[in-house]
Amino acid sequence: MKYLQKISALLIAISLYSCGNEEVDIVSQIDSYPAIYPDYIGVTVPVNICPLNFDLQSYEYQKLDVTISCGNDELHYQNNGAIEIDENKWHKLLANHTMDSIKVEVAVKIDDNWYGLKPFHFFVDSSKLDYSIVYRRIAPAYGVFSDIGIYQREISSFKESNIINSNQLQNACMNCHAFNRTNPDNMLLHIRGEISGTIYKNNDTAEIYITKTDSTLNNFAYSYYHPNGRYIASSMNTTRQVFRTGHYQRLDVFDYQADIAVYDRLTSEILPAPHIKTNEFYEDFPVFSADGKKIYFSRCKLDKLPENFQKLKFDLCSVDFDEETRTIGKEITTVINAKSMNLSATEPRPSYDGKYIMFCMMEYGDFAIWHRKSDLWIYDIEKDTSYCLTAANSTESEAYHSWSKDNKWFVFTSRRGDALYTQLYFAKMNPDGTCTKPFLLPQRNPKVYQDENTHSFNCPEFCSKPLPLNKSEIFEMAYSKERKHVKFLTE
Amino acid sequence: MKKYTVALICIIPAVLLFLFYQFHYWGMLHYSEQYQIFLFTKKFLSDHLWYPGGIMDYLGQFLTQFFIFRSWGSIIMAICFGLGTYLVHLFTKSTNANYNKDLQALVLVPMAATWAFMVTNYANLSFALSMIVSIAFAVLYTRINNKYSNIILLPLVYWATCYGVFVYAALCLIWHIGKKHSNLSALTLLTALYVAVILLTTYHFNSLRFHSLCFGWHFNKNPIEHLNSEFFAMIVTVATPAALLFINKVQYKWIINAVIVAASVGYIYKMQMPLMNQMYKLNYHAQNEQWKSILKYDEEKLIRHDLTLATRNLALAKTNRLLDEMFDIEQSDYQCLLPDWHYDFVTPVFLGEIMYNLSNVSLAQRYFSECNNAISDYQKSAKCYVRMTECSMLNREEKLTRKNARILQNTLFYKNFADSILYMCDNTNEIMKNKKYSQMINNGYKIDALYFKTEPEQMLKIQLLGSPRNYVAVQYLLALNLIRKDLDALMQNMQYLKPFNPNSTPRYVAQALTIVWYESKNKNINIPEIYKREITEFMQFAQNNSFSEVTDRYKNSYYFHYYCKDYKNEISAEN
Repeated sequence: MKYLQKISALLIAISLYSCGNEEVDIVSQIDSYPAIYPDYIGVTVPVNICPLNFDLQSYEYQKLDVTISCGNDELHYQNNGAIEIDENKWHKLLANHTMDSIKVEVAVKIDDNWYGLKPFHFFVDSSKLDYSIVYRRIAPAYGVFSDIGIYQREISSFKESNIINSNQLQNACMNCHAFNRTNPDNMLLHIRGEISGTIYKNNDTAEIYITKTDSTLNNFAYSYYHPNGRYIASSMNTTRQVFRTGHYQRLDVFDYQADIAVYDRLTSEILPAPHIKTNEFYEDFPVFSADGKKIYFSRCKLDKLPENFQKLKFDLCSVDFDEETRTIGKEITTVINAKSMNLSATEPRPSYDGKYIMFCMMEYGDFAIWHRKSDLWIYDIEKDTSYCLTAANSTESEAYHSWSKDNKWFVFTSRRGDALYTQLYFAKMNPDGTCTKPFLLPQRNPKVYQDENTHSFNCPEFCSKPLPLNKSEIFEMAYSKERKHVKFLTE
Repeated sequence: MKKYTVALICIIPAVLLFLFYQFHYWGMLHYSEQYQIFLFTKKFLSDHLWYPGGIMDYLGQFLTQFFIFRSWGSIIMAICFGLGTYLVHLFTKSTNANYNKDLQALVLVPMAATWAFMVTNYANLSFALSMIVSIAFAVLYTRINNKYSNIILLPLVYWATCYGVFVYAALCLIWHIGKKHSNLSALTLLTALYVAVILLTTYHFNSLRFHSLCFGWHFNKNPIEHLNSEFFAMIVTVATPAALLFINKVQYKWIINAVIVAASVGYIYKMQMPLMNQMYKLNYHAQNEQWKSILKYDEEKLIRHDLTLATRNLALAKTNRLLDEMFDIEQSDYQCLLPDWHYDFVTPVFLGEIMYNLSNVSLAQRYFSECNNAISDYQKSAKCYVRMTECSMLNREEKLTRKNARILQNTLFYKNFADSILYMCDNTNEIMKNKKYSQMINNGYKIDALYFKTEPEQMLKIQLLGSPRNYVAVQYLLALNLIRKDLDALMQNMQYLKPFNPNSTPRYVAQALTIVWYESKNKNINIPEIYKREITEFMQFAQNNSFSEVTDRYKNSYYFHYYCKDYKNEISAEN
């Protein structure tokens, strides 16, 4: 009994010791910001963002002491590794201090001495991001595809759920998921390989289609919903990749052919547009304008490939679309003449309020992710001007962006972390058309993420609620032998 | 069974297995070690803990990392084999008091069947471990002898070994039958329940066909083909103690025992994969730059395959002998130099190694990356990470180099390498102090071009434009011309040889030039003195009209390579 009492006392003492924070007696104040990963210094975050856990770089430290405070509210953590903030307390702190700056004080213990670092702030915006972000998680690959999956990650927590993984679908590649303005009640998901097909989800019904016809190049690739949910603009591509011998850029991806089409989901028909579907031009990345009356897309004159692929300069063009008559306008307008700037414009994404079009600008081609010089640009529709979104860009590739439902935020992929693994960054659009400093999608343990993550996160799309399509539904449709076929309408 | 007999049955085969791996089959140890990475991180452990059989995968990978040293690998294999055999003996002994008299060697059979699968390239060590652990749990069950113990043991065995639980459950049933216990029905019911649970869980997790839930399966995107060997091993493991329940006495016991031992050894030997073994022995030497070891390989024993020949040719090029000795062994086509890569994890490693040694860093990086993605069960390869780290450093991708190196820092045997890379990766002077890396930088591409595998000569020429001192690339360029019988291109590319051999011409190039001289209309062209011996030789070859004589005498000449196809056609036409 005596032994039991002693052991209990010891256990209590140990637990009390481990729960308590060490007293921080700062011997010296360092006049520089802490080198934290991810870099959250001076960022603006939405009020519903999950905790900005971070790790301190550059120092071999014994312990980290972090105080996050605003007004009378304070969160205090000590750890010998990355700081992991309590989710409930975090959300409470942010909710109490919207449109306010939160101060973060970091002290670091090195050789039994505590050193204070310059405090930094981040700003809490009152706007909320959508419920989640849906992305494709993939091991960077060229010819052989490994672990690919579509995942949904909640914005306000670290919860990541797998929608479908390639090992459940005969190692098929999957991609090209799209929602109607973040609403997953209208969504599509394309699966490649032997069990290929495109799953269309429309409220309560889900069907799988073969979208290639005798008259089209391939299955639908990059797709975008019309605001009414009935029409989908899609590209059809014959994509190839070529490796490079130099060290600056690993490879180039280009299309031998690329066309766009508008698909009427109600009638399962591809609407005719012979003036667009020509052999003279590549057309790619079609999207509908906010009001659904225009289709924006990248366009470039055909050239001899692969020899001249570095001469491919895409312009941003538009064409009218009438949803009543189901007709695509005859006149193609050049919105951004990138070629005149000796650049190439690709991946247009209009904001849902019709104010901006965000797109990628690079030296040539239209596959932005493999171009280190690819940057995000903005086209201000009202002012008819375009400019580089400097604050969002880095020396590495920026690509595949999408808007939040309220148009205040956008997400994009960037390789600024290590030049290979694409990661997701968020930034807020300012009223003057600039944006705030981007921040990485927060991770539960940033150190593990930084050191051990061997996946890229691409094709991010905001999603306003949990995906209504579950794994077994996808599984059942993918393995069913029945496939519906889209029809190609001729004029 | 007497103690020394048990010792003999367990130890002698284990020793034989040790010798088998140590001196003959170590290429497959290298193969196993090559395609995995064991990380000392919490995440790596937790990733394995959540799924049934994961702990065996974890343990298997932990042990496999020691295969980097062939003697350690051989010892581990031998211990596993001996331990498994001993556990089968223990179980059989506790099941059947009369087991003893005549068929001692039968306890060898389960592990022999297991290793007949283990010597194939589809097996992970985790399969053998799962079998051993299942048998160990069955032994434990017989010792506990409590009818409720399976409430804990069955799920525990399932979690630890996944489908090893079938072996375990079957062994428990056999024990009950042997002991004629009355609580058999309760066990049967419980087993049936667990089987149902397992199958349901499997369906829930994923499709059985496409997931590596099944321990030890390198499902390789097509697991069904390889199930038979595993099921056979599992059935034999269960059937052996069951058979011993009914067999107590046999005649000619020594002969039968000897036959069992011989059959077991023979079966394992038959199931081995000689080509894979040889390929990975060569690959091991290539990775460690042991070029002479590759060239010491007996030509008669060298299995003719694109990858073995390509590795031999690489060794010849690295020792500056490619153009003198490549046709000592018949070369079928250019794939003997630059093999095609397939969507698997074998060819990219060999091709990556060739590109690496050609100082074609970007392509090497690509192929090792392809390999890393293609490994079954989504495992990664420490060896590929090593090369990818070096390549990213040479390509001046500092952040990526650091990331790769940090991954390797969590390993046991590549930690020092990672530390050294982290020390030098952001300091060009330090990199240039390293002889190998500085040579690779100097010999690498200086011109950024698109790489087309279909035009390897063009690619080598572009490389040589920037790095004319890359003699490996020069040899590959001329060797490609020779193999493809493109003597016009060879004549043009002779210029690249000049800086290296101003006064002599490599043997096979000289033979090719003799053919050029012979076939040129104007035979009065000036013939250098050094070719005269070749011309005499060639004239003898040309005058010879017996195919068999030509084959015997000239099979190691370029003349044979150049003319043999036509020659063969002529002979076959005559026949």
